Amino acid sequence: MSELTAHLWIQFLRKYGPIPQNDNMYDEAIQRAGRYLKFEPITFESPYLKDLKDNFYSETPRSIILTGTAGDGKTYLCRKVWEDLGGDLDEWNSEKKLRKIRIANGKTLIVIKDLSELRDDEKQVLLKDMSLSLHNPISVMLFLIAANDGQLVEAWERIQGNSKVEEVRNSIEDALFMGTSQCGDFPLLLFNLSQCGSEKILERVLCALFDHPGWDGCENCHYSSKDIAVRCPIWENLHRLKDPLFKKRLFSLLTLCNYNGIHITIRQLLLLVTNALLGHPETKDQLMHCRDVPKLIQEGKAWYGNIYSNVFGTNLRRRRLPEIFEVLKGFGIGDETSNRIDDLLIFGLDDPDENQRLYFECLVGEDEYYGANKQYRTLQNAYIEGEDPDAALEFFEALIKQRQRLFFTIPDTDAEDLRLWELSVFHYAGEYLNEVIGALAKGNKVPSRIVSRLVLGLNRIFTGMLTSSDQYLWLATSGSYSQSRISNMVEGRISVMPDKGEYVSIENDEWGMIFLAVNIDQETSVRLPLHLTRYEFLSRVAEGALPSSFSRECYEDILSFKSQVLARYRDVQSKYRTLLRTEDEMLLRFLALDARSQLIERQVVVKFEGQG
Amino acid sequence: MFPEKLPQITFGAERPPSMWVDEAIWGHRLYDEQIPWLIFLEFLNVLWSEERDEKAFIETDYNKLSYRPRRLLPLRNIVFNNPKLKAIMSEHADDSARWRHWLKEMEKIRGGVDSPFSYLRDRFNNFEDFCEIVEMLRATSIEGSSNKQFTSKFIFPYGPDCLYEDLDARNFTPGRRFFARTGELAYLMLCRSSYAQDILGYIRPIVLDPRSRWNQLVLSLHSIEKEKLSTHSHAYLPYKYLPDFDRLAKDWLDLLRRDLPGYDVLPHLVSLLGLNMLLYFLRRGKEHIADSPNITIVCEIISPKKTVVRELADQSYKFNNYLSRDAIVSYIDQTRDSEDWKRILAHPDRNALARDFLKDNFMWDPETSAEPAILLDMLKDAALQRHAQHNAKIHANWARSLGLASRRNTRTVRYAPTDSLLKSLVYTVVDGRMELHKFLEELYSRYGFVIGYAQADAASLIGSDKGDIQAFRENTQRLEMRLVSLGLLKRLSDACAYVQNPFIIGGGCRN
Repeated sequence: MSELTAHLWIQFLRKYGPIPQNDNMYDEAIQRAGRYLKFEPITFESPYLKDLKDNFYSETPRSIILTGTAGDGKTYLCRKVWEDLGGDLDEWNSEKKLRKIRIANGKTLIVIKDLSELRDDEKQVLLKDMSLSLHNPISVMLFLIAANDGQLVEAWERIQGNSKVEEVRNSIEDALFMGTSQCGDFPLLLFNLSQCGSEKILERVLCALFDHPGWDGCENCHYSSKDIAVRCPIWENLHRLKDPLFKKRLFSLLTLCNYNGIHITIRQLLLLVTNALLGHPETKDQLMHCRDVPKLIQEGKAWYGNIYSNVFGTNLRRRRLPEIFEVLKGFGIGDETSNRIDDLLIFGLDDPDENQRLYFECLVGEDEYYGANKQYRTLQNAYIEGEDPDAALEFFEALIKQRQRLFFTIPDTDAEDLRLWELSVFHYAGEYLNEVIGALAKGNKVPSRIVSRLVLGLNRIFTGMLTSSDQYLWLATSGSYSQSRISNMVEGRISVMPDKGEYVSIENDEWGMIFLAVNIDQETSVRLPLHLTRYEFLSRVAEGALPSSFSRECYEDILSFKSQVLARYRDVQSKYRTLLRTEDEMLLRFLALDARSQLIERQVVVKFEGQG
Repeated sequence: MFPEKLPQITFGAERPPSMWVDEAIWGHRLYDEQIPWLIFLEFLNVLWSEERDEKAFIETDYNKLSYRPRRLLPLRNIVFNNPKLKAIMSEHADDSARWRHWLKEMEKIRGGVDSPFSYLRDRFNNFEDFCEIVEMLRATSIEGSSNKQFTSKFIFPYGPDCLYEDLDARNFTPGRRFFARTGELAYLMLCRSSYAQDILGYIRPIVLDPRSRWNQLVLSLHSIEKEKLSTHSHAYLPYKYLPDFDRLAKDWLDLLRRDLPGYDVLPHLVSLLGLNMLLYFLRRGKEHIADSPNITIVCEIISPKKTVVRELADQSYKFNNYLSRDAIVSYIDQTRDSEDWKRILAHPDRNALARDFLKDNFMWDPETSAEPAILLDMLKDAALQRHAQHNAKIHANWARSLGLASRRNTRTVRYAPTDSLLKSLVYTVVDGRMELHKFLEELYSRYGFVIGYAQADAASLIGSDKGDIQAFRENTQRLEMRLVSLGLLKRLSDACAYVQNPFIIGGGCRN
C-alpha cells in the first residue's frame, strides 16, 4: 500500500461528505465512485436485513413495506434482499420499475425499490392488486415495496377504492402512526427504518469505517508521524474518533436527538463522520484532500481541522447546513458555558484556585494539537493583557472551539464537578440520559426526586402560581376555563406517592418511549410523552429560571396535557359525585399559597336556602 | 345569483330600521360591535328563553321568533357595579362592620334595583367568602375588564342563571349595541340546520342545567324578587336554508362531541361561531356581485420577514373587506333591471310611483320628490353611508376579534391566524389524526383558507414565479412548527406529518 492509495481513499471518502455536488447522494452514486476508484463502499449489516431474509424464507412469508426518510437505506436493503434471493444484478441495475422473482415457498415476490418511480396509474394498479392479495388467504403474490412515508400515505390516499382498499390503508396508517410493524390482521409488515436509533447505526458505521482497508495506505505515510509538528490532521482526527470517550459523547447527543423525536438517517451519519474527519475551513469544499496536508502543516493551520468543531459543521461555509449539523448545533455546544468553565479556559495556569489549574493542565494543557497549543496560548496572553481588541475577538472564537473540545473530553469522573451539560442548552440532559433513559432501560425506577421536580414544574404551570408544592399534582381551573394563565379554583389533587391507586411516575412503553404517567385510579392513567425539551422545560420551571427560548413552545403543550388530565379526573370523580354534593350548600375550594409557598386550600361555603 | 329570500317582516308598533338594504342581504341584523363572544351570549339568551317555553330550536313559522331574556340587575350590580368591595374588605376587620359598610355603599350606587342587598348576609358564612366569589366571577367575566358600562359586562355562562340581556345603563332599556340581534340570527341559523336537536342534547348539560354546580354558585347572589321581562321579536334571517347553516352546526356538533372537560369547549364554540358568521357575511356579499359565493382567505402563518404569502394575505383581506360595500351597490342596482321598475319608468306618474316602490321594497322614504333614476342614486348614497357606519366594519372587527386577522409584524392588517384559532380549528376538523395536507385541504374546502401550495394553486394564486410555490411551502412548514409547539402535530419525517387532536369523539383522550 502506498501513499497514492491513501490519496485515492481520502478522495473516495470525500464522496460521503457534505460536498455540494453530493446533495443527492444515492446508493447508486457511491457504487459508481467505488467502482471507479477501486474501493469497496463502506458497508455494514442493516439491523433489518435479517428480519427481512427470515421472513421471505419462512413457511408463512408476509409482504413487507419498507418506509423511512430519504437516506435511511431503503434501496440498499431492497438490493440486498434481491441479491440474497438469487435475483439477477443486471436486472437490478436495469431501468425496470417492477421486478419479479420466484421464491422458495412457491410464491412470487414483487419488488418495488422506489414507489415514487411509478406513474399514478401504475401505483393504482399495483396497490389495488396488493390490497386484493392481502385479503386473499391463499394468494401466491408477495410484495416488497420501498417508499418514503409521505409518498406512501399519499399513494394509498389517492386510490379510488372500495372498503377493502380502505381497510388496508387504515391498517398501514395505524402502523405508521403508532410505530408498530404488524399492519392490522393482514399478512403485511411495515418496517419504518426511521425508527431505528441512530446511535446504534452510528456504531455500525464507525466499525465499518475503521475496519476499511482504505486506511492501510496511511500507515506508512510521512505525515502519520508521532511528531506532533508534522502530524496529519486527518490521521489525528481518526484516532480521536476512535477514542471511547469521544464516541460515548457523540452517541449521547444522538440518543438525545432520538428521544427528542429527531431521526437521523444513515446518509446524514455518513456526512457527519466524514466531515468530522476531513473538515477544515480553509480547503476546497472545506474538506481536506491528502494534498492539502503538507501546506496546512507548514502554515501552522493543521489544527483548524479540529474534529470537535467539525462535528457541528463549524468548518462549513454553506448557506444551509446539512440537517445533521443543524440538529447538533441545536445543542448550543460552544456557545453555552458556565463561569467555572470559562474561568478555567481564560485564566488557565494563572487561576488562583489550584483545582482549576489542575483541570486546565490535564484537560487543556496536555493536548498540544487542539488544546493549549502555541496559538491558543498566544491569544490567551494577549486577551489577559487586554491590549488588542481584535485579539479578544479572535480569542472568543478560540474559546468556542475549546468549549466544544471540552464537551467531548471531560472524563465521566469530572463531569458532575464541572457540570458538563452546562456546556449545552440542556442542563438536565446528563441526568435525563443516566437517571431516566438509563434507569428505565435497566428496568429500574426513576428516582423520586426527579418525579417530584417535574410535578413541581407542572404545578407551577397548572396553577400559574410560584409554588413549591411537589407532593401532589394540583388540578385547578379559573372556574370557567382550565386554560387560563392563573387558575385558583381547586378541582382536585393527585398524590405523587402511591395512594389508593393515585400516583405519578416516569415510565417507558414497549417501544422505549418515555412518558410521565399521572395515574388517577387503578384503571385511569394520562400520559405525557417526556421528550428532552419537555423534561428540560419542566425542570427549569421547577428550578425557577425559565429560559425565554422555550417558554412559548412547551407552555401550550403542558396546558393541553392539563386539559386531558382534568377530563379524566372528572370522569373518575363522577363515579362518586352523589357523595360529594349536599342539597342546601356548596363548598368551593380556592387555592392560595402559604408562607412556605406551599399550595393550600381555602374553603368557601355558599348556602342555597330559600332560593328558587 | 343568490338563494331565494323569505318575505320581509313587519314591525307593527315598534320602530322599524331606517331602510331595508343591509337587512335584505344579511338579515336583521348583523352588527360590527357585537363581537363573537357577545353573539354567543345573545344566542344563549334566546336559547334559554325558548328552552323554558319548551320550544328550543323549534321554529314553527319562519322569522316569528319571540323570546324574553332576563335582566338580573341585582346580580350585575354586585359583580360589576361594586368598585369598593375590596377596599371595604381590607379597611374593616370585623365581619359585621364589613357587611354594614358594604350594604350602605350599595344603597348609594345600585343601578336599576330598588330592594336592598341584605339577603346576601344569610347566604355566606362571612364577608370574605362573599368577596372571594365576587372576585372570581369578575375575573372570569366577559368584557369585564373593558371600560364598557356595567350593564354591558357579562358573567361567564356557567348556567342559565348567568344569562341576561345587554342593557342601556341610562334607563335600563334593552341595549342594542352589543346585543344587536346577531345572536338571534345565529340562533335561527342553527334552528334551520340539520343538526339543531343534536346540538341541544350536548349543550344542555353544559350551559342550560340550572342544577349545575357553578350555576348554583351564581344563583346564590340572585335576589329572590321576580322581575318583569320584555319580549324581543323581529329577528329576520332571509334564507330558509344555506349550506352555511349546516357547516356551523356540524362544526359545533363535532366540537361538542369531543367531550372537553367542563366549560373548555365554549371558547372553541365561540371561535367557530365567529368564523362561520364572518363567512356568512362575506359569502352573502360575494354572491350579490359574482356567480359564486366562494371566498378565499389567504392566511399567513406569521413569518419574521415579508413574504409573497404576506402580500397575498394582505390583498385577499382588502378584497374581502370591500365585498359588502359592492354588494350594497349591486343589490340596489338590480332594481333598475326589474320589470316593476321598467313599468314605473313608463308611467306618467313615475316620480310618485317610484317613491312608493322604494318605500315598499327598501323601507326608505326620500325627503324630496325626484326622477326615479335620481331617487335610486339617492337611495344608493344613503345606503352606503349607513352601511359605512357599522356593517362595513364587520369584516375587520370580527376577523380580528376571532383571531383570524392581525397586525403583528406589519403596519397593515392581514389574515394571520392566532394559535388559539388554530387550536380551535384542529379540535373541530380533526378526529383523532389527519394527514397535514389533508387538513389544509379540509380548511380550504370548508372555510376557503389558503395556507399551502395546493390550495393556492386551486385558488389560482400561483403565478409563473417559482418563488410563489416555495413561499407557500414555507408557509406550510411554519404551520407545521406552530402545531408541533401546540402539541397538535406529530411529525413522522420531513415528508409526512399528522395533525392530531387529543380529544376524540365520544370522549376519552389519546396520548
